[in-house]
Amino acid sequence: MARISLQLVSQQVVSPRFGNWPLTVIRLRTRTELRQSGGSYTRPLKAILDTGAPLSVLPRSLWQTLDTEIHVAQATFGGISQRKECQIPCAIGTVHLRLCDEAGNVSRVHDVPAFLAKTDRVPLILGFASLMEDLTIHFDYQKPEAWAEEK
Amino acid sequence: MEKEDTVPQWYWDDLEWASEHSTELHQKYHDVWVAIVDKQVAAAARTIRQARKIASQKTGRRPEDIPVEFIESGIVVYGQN
Repeated sequence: MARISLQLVSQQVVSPRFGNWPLTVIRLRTRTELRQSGGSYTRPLKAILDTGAPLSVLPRSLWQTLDTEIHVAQATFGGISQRKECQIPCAIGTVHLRLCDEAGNVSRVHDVPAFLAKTDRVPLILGFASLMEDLTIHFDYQKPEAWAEEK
Repeated sequence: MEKEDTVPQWYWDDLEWASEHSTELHQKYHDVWVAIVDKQVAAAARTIRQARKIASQKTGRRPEDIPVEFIESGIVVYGQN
């Protein structure tokens, strides 16, 4: 059973959008290697581990080089706003990835359904489906420590 | 399970550098991908491909060996309605 280190990354945001009230943004991050069309894996990439996301999200420049099965060619996804102009065009497909860390720990390969964005203006997000349902996720911001363990 | 290939330490160093400098990067860049080489931003562009291409041209490092990070503008909630 591989235990893979995760990261809790925080940043301070001061923006007129928020009345210049200083906000601390904390995200849970992992590193992932994605299977490319030739069968090899990418170098590790950082991804947001998002328990609130049903599916993963990949930016276009990234998924176009991957071993990907497309299930739906034309779809959209979006944020809280349901307005049409806030929706992001995408395909829906399956990608193959594994989690890893600097210590050399690596998970098994997960076949993950994902929104394959038709833009690069999205980060790499790993959602729940076919990934977190197979993992134990632990994080404690105060210590700080975070890890994922396969069941 | 052990990994079958080794990621160079310089790659890990560049990958983690962006996390360690998250606040500074978010103050300077908005909604772009930054490419990190030798613990500094070598390029910033709208796409991963473009950021890596510019960074590769500047540094001579292969594009696939250059870590990239998306710098969001402010706070974004990625729902999936």
